[in-house]
Amino acid sequence: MIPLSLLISWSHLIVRKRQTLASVLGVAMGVGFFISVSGMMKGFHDFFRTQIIESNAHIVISDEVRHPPRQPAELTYQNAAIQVKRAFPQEPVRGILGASTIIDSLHQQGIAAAPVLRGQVLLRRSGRDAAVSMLGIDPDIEGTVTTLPEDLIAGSLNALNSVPDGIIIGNLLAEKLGASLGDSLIAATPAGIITNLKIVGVFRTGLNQLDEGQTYVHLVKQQSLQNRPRVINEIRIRLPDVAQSIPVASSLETRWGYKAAPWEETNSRVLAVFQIQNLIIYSTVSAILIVAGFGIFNIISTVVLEKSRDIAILRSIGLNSSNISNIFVIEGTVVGFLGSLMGWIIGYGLSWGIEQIPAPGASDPTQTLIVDGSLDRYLLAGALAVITSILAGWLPARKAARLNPLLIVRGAT
Amino acid sequence: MSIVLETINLSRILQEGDLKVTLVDNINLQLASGEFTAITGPSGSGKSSLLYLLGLLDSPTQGDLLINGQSTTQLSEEERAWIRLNSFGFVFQFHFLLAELTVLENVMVPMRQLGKLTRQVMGKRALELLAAVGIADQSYKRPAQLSGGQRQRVAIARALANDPQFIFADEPTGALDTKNANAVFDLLAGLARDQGKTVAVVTHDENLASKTWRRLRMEDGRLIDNNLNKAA
Repeated sequence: MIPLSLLISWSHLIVRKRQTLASVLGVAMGVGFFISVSGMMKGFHDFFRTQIIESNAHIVISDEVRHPPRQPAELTYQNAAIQVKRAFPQEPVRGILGASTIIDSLHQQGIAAAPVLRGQVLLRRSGRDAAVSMLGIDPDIEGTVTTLPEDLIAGSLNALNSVPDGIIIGNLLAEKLGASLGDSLIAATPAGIITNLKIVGVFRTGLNQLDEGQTYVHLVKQQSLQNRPRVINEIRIRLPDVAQSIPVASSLETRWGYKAAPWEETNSRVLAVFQIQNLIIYSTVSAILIVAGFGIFNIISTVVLEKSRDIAILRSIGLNSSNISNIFVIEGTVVGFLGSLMGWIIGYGLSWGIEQIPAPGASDPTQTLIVDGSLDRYLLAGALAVITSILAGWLPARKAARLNPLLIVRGAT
Repeated sequence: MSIVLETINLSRILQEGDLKVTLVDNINLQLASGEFTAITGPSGSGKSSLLYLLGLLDSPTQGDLLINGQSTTQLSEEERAWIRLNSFGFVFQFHFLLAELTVLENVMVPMRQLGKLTRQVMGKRALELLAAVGIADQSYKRPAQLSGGQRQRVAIARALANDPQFIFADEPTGALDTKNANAVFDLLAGLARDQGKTVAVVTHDENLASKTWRRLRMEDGRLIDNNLNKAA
């Protein structure tokens, strides 16, 4: 049989159909927006993260060290208090020494690695110029560490082998320079070398930073353009399991002494922005639920006031204070559950609707917004809604339980 | 007839700051089983306050209340609620029926809280009680569809739901006309006479009070006459 508290709370909810419906809808809206908006954010972040992981190397070893090397005088007198003035610091040759050893060792461990010489270049065509970074790569193994071969929308990676002065540029840069496949560009490097480069490939990653500011030439070509023969200043690594990037990077750094940056570090600013966005989105959508909670609190408080006579008679009949508070906690819980169920439907519908919207600014025109619709998002929204509703019912319920029946019974006589 | 309720120097003092009001002043009283007692007195004489103390709705500031020989001053609120549920039935001036429930469901509320009977038995018993107060035909209506006299009968049926040992009524006829008032009073008298329940009624209606077997008279919180009807 239905417990008495449930019967009474149900009768309260049924009699106030409109108010009940309004508070259920309030919760449902909160849950729906929570699911769809946070799902949209998550979908966007996941998309972006995949883009970053796929088009970039997982770990980049560069010819930098995290702490400046100690000077010879300091090394000679290890434990002395030394102050060396006017000493010229050692200027080591830039580049990763023994890069091929490192790459070989990585290959033996089954980890893909490719050498890079990164440098600056000024590209010019018909009076328009762009200062971009230029990467000398090995076209044969570049595909094992980045998605450059798949990102090409024109030309081929292999052309770098057959055309010695070939260059591959991003689609945005091509637009900016008004150049297309087969066109020639004038390139000037910091080493003072000026030459002609022919576009043999155009790529698009969807990340503007790359599409606008990164170019590729053959490693040998780059070494001569930068006047740094046989020098490599970056090793790009792709791991079988991207989740291992941080531990692998730190062990590489310990072993070889060069800075090894996992993709999380390279993109730390983007990831920090994601975190701030999450904070904003979650606090906004949670606020909707809290507002809905206030609505429930308001309605149940009114019921408690209106029903103080009922509470008094129930108390005098012999219901104890927890029986009384149960009535109103149940009302909040019922509203929370119904609201969650309805909110799941609304959230599902909204998510579907958002997924029909074309992604603004996307390089691919068929790309729509992505909404992450994982089950735990629904469960989290539902749990938050139910907890908020129970709390919203519990606060007035506590007041109802404390009501002195005598004041009502006496006041009425 | 045995003594089932006894008060020993029962007092209730209301203290608010410096203001001290004695509602019930040092009352010694005994009620026997099957006794139909009226508590009368002018407004503010403390008759309702005394009834609430007897019904465990209020706690005395001094003295003790024995129910079936057991002291009640040390009981917790939960234990007092349990006694009210099992052994007491209350009827107030206003019916205090739950507007959302039917008449039948209202009568079943105390039974549901006690939870000793099955739903079928509860429904049957509620119908019997409504028949006993003469309104079985109104069982499936809402309280709002009933007249004042009918509602008060429902309230009496509800008070009887768990077959209580005691019935406490506070001005049960206060909102009724003479005809209905007499009928309600006769109902209460019948409970004491036929079922041996201890019935205590607070009323300011001296005419009705004279119909009871025993009449207490209060003034300024004190019991000034313990057995008016027998003396007369």
